[in-house]
Amino acid sequence: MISGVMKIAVSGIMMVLLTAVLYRYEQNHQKLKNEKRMTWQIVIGIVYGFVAICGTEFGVQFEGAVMNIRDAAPLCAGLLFGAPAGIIAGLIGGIERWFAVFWGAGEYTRLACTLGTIIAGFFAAFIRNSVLENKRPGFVYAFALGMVTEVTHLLLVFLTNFDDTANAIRVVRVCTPVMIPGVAATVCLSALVLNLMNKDKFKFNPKNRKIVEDLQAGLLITVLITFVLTNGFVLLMQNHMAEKLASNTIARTLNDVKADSAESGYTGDELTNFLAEEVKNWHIGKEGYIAIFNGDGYIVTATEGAFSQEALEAHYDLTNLYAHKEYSVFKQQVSGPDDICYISYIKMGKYCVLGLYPESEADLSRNVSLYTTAFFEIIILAVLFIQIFFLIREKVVKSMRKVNDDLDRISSGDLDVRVNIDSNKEFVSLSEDINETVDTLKHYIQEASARIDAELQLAKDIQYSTLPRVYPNGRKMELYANMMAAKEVGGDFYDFYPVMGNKFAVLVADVSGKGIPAAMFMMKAKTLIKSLVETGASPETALTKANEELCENNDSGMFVTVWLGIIDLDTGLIQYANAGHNPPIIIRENKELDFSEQKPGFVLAGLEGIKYVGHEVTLEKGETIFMYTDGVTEATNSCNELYGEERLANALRKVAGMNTRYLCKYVKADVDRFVGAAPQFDDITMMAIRRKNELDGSLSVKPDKESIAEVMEYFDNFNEENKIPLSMSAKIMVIVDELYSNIVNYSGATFANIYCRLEQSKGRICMSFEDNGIAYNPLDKEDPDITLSSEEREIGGLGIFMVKEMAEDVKYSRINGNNILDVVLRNEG
Amino acid sequence: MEIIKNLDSEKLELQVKGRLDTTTAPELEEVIKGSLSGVKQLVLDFDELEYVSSAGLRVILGAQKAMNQQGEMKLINVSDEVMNVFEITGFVDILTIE
Repeated sequence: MISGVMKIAVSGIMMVLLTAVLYRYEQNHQKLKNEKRMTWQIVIGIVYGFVAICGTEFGVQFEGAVMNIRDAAPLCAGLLFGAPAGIIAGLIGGIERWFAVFWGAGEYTRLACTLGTIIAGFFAAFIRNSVLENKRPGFVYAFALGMVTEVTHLLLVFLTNFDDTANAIRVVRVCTPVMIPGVAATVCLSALVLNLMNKDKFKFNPKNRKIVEDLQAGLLITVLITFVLTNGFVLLMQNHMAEKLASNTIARTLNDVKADSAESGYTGDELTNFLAEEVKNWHIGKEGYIAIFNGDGYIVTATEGAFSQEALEAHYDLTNLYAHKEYSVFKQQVSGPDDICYISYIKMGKYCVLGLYPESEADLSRNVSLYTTAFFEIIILAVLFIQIFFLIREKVVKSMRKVNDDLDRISSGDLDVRVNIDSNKEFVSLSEDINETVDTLKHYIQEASARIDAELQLAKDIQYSTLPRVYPNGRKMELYANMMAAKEVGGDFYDFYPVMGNKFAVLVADVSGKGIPAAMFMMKAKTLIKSLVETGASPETALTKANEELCENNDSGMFVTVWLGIIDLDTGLIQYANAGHNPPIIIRENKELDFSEQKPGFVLAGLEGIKYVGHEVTLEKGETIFMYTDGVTEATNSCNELYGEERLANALRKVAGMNTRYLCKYVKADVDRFVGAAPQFDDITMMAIRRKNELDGSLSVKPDKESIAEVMEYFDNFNEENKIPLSMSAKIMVIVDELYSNIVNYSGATFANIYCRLEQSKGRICMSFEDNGIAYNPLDKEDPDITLSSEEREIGGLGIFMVKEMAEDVKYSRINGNNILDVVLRNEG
Repeated sequence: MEIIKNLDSEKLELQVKGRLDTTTAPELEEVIKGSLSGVKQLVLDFDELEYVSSAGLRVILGAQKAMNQQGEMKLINVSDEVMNVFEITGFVDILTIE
């Protein structure tokens, strides 16, 4: 027995080592898990099939049964390597066992062993694929699976041998204590070794425990207790019944002997001979014996083939025997270690009749029922475990995964995800709770973002509200400024106001920072500078003093870049100071650009004690100074290119001499074209001042009905200022009315620029009408027939006809998407 | 523009002062339309009219066409500037100017 167990243990260890070697090989060749997977599975299946065959061929003989751990091979293949390998190994091992009968394997367990091995393969494949999701089991599960497989195997021995239960129980009794632990331990150790090789973390941390493991642990304890109680109870009951059965069986035979001898009527030696003859062939049950002693303690006779007289005589001291009552049953070892018998006796005159009934026969049904009950319970337990696993996975784990997936999507920002799980009441309620939470969250986020938007809007409103909107357009100069705020970052502003002595102050600035603080800082800087300038301070003094003021209590560390200039309207002299701002560009009358060479001073509110330096530049008549913030030159297109000073210069050259409104709008349009669809990152601010030629008149308007009066007034002023005679002014006004009303009514333009100047030396008046409406040349229109009667006359075309008639020259051109109509009038005055 | 209306039984006299252009022409048109019923003679006094543009011409033409049906129309005190317009546009041929 001991050597048999040793052999089984050695073969188990060899299988564990083989598993480790194969696993290491697989680890080193990743292909075997991927593209060559099927080939590898077949190889593994064949290798373990061979191992199963070795199990059959080198089994351990013991008391007529052959013990082996063949089933461990398909289990290891299937559980630790893959379902196909398990099935192949099981089939090879099982089929070989079927034919092994021809070269010496046991016939008795042929079917059971074949089926058991094949089932082991399929079982392993099923568990690996359906339960473990193609992962290796932990060693505890491996042990349980090995045990369940082997229990099934041994149960099959019963089921395939109903006719010969006595033999079946003998085989099972021998095999159970060796094969079940053997197979279970082999599979368990193999799994453990792989776990160790893979440095798996053993999940002792409760955080890593799965729900199903907790449930199974609880269930295992309950089932084990039930198992012990049930089987204990069955054992007790069956023991009692078996004893009673044995006692009855023995008593019946003993009574028969007694009755027969009484019936015979013999006494003395005749009776002795009669009994000797009679008892020789009598059995109790199948294997039980009868022995008769005389009063001296010597054996008279016994069932043939029973024990030697000496053995019995030595064994049964009648005095001891008589300590038991007649008919009462007790157990005693008769000869060999397994020969335990139920024993009972009766006295018959001077004779003592002894009945011996082997326990193995008396307890057969008890043993069969005990083993089958236990085996079935183990299998049912296993099925239960697997079922719980499936239930939990289907009803709980899958739902939880879905919840987790949804939550992942929600936490990654998609708040429109609805969790919708209807697998059971608990999850429906969980889904609803999550949805509610997300909705609440969404609500809060919306509120918060609305608040932020409102704050940004407020800041922007403050920023805009500080900007003067009425652009001066006087006889000596005209000014236009524009600020386009970016969505978030901002802080640009401009300002202009008249100061003493026919002077005009202008400034362009950019506050660092954003939101309400920047807006407030801007207000402060703007007001401060204005109040300083209005008291008569020069630009450099104003900036120097403003810097001191702003540096105080400037905890937030904001600063502002400022270009401040004061222009003398009579002489065109600009005194200016620059606090870190982009220097302006002067567009000279010959379309040359003049960039300031002066180095800007330090930013305002950046450092206390800065002394700003004043500079001077003169703007001649007809020249324009263009001021801007870095939002213009640093406007970025989708290729991350900057608009830059060169593009700005080119744009300015193109519109040199134009009025400032047109100039600024042209530059803005050029920047927009360059930027394309890329978002605007910074405020874009520009301001231009043009020193007018003495007699030029130009007007930029938005061509709507209301603007007509403005245009008329403008030309009235022109006529008045230039003392245009009535005959001329009437023509001018008719021409303006005809051409401008056309622009208002038919061009669809959003912008019109009207330009009129008296060229005294040439004795003519030049008018120019420019609009950004649809391309239309009115000169193409056919002249109306002016000879028709009043009934036949149509009014269309008369207006432009009149213009052509009144003017010396009318010219149409289309430039930069604008219609330009130039009209020259001979000044007859 | 200012319009002074003077109705004497079947004779309507309108003094038009200021400018007769895009802005003001609709006003005159409305006045004429509203006053013409039963009028046999329409007199437009352009003494203080500064100028007429095509929009004004349209109204004058409309009045002329209306009066062709129900009587006569004449323009009086037409200034040189306005006359210039009538000449250019051939209106002198279809209007009665005194």
